[in-house]
Amino acid sequence: MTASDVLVRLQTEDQEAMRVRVTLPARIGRRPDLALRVDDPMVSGLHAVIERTEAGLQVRDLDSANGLWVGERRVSACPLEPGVTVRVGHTTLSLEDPVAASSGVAPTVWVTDLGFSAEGEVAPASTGPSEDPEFPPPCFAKRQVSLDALAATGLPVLESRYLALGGGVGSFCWADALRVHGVPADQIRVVGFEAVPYARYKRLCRNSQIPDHERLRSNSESTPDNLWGFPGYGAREASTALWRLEPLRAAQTLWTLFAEPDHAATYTPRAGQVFDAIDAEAKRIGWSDMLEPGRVRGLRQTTDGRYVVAVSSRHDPAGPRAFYVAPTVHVALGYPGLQFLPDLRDYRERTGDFVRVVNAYEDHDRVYEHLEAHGGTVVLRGRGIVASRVLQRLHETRQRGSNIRVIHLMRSQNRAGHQSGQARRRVDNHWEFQPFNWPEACWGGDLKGRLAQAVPEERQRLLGEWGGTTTADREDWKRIVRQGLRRGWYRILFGSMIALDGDEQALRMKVRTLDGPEATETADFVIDATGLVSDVRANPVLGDLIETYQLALNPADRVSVDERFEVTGLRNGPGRVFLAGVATLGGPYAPVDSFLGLQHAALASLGALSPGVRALGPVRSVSAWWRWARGSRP
Amino acid sequence: MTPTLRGRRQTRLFLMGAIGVPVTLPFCVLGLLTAPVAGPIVAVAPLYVLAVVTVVGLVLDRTYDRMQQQRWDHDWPVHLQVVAGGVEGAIAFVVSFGCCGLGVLALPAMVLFPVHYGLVWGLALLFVQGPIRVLFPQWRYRGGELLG
Repeated sequence: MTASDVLVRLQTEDQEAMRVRVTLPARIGRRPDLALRVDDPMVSGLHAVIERTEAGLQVRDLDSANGLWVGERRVSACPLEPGVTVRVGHTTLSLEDPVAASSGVAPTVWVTDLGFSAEGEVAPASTGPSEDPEFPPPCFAKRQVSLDALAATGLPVLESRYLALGGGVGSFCWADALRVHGVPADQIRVVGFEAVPYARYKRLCRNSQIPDHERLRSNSESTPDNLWGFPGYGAREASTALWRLEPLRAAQTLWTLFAEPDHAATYTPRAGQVFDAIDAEAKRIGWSDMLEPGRVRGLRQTTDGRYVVAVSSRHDPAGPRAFYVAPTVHVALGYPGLQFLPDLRDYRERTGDFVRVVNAYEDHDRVYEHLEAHGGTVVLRGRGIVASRVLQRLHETRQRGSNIRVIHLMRSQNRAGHQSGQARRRVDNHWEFQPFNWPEACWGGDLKGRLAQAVPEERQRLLGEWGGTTTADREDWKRIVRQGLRRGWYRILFGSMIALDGDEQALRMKVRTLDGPEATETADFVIDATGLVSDVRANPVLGDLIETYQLALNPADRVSVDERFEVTGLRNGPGRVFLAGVATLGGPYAPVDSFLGLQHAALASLGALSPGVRALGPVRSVSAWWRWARGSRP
Repeated sequence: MTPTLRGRRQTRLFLMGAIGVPVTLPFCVLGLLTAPVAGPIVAVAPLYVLAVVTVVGLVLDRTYDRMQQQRWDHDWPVHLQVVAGGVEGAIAFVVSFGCCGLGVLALPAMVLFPVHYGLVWGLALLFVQGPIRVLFPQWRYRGGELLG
């Protein structure tokens, strides 16, 4: 974020608030080319502008029909200050991030891609922790902090045996494993800003067109709510169907589990089933008792062989702050933001048009609503699982009678899938398939061992061979692609975008095609389904740790961890820091950001914590499982 | 399931001990009751069959492992586990009662083979679909290895 950027909160009646980062001056109105486009009949095409004057930020009416209102007063211009709400039509406008906006200080966070706001919403803005020069305090400038220095700040210092940072599914798997291993809830604290561990995950699912009744790309036995993966989601789904007297459905599920992946599409659980199961387990292990609402701002070693974590309030940079001190810390902060293809990012930054060029992971339902009402052409980028879901949604919208055309822009052809040893992945119409995002044996089979034993450079090669962009081999998706190609509403264009511009009518995209000539296509929307940012430095906390402790990075440029997921560079006497999730991609374990991968990481790290955490031998394991089955506290 | 060769063999030995032996013992007793005169050989025949089943399995494991390498996911799905169970049963039957047969004294074990093998193998199949992980939470991350 630069000095000329502000974060604006837009709230239209009956709708969720939206946060938009705009570059000043930013014009507001109904016109699609404006930075702050408001879909509200009471708003003029060009209604007002936010600009910076000598006196500070202001909103100025641009001769709109219905004017600019502060409370009951119509104004021609008004200063935009923290706490002031300005109304245009049925929409209210306010400043979202007072500190960054008023001070104009550039926070040391990523500046280009979408991030996550304080509420975890996907926000087209850099809404990482706002720069606050006073917190973490000056003693954090050193590599090691003494408890006396912490006490001198006068802020609360809360000690615990185990501390999990993030509060998402990664933290949940770790805390759950600790609880199942017999660690009492009062020895564990979890710092996060979501009430439920799957909050952000669910939001990303919903935005990328996986509502609760749709199926995830995850295995039946990848059960974050159950350490043992037994019973799996498939068995639970079959038994629920039986209880509901739906024997056919039960048989169908069991058949899938039996015949997958060769004679039936791989079983995957519905999103809602996983969330409900996590809810039940969270209740059982006392998640809400362990959860400390707040945002992690920094981590340091302490002089007594532990770690201290600076935590600020979730929204309010000036709100309550505290230090958490523990000898064992688990860091699982998730993806720092959404990835944008550079050309699309450039377009958005240039034009402020966040409506017609969208990331599949941000809330873009309006695209489908518009298409359903008016039809139109969509350019789709990416060919992973999200692209499949987007295409499915477009197909469904199309079936309701709208005239929708899809141009799928692909940089290269793909006729033969990746090869590894004697095995080759299947390809259909340039979409490549595998059930999950890695070959299954990466989770616990021979490929897991092979990767763990490989030297770092060899790992890079193996990961390249096994990974890459793939989608699930689902019959319905393949059918949509084939049918679309046959009927002509779906078209694949091979080439790379060299320019994207737009006026009020349409977007114009210039493409250098694979065979050389340039082509120009017009479209109404561009949906970028190429993924999430996994650059560790984009996360301010990790970026700071890497810099302060000169942490080793793996060849994939993520944080180097050992097979127990310990960040050995942070070792502090008896103190240990473990890292899980995408920040460890490229290390000894491939599927780090999957449910089962997070569970594996949790179990692996617990192995390094004996004698504090007693290993789960067969007898203790059975008894712990029995308590799970009965729903009683671990 | 994504077993490694070592994992397959360790799991197999474990299952034959933990499920195969307890299931086989009643068949031994049954053998004793049906042929009191012949005595020990009839009683031991089902255990001999179990041993053959185990050895045949351990030998075939190498083949399965090779087949697994041909699969993109290096996995061993349930339907292949079932096919493998049928193949192992057929081979074990031929080996037990055909080429290196026990003679006429093994007749009760031969007649009961489908039931005996079906029970051992069916329970083992069910056991590896989940319950084994309740005993050994790390089992699935180690390609089925129990030791090491």
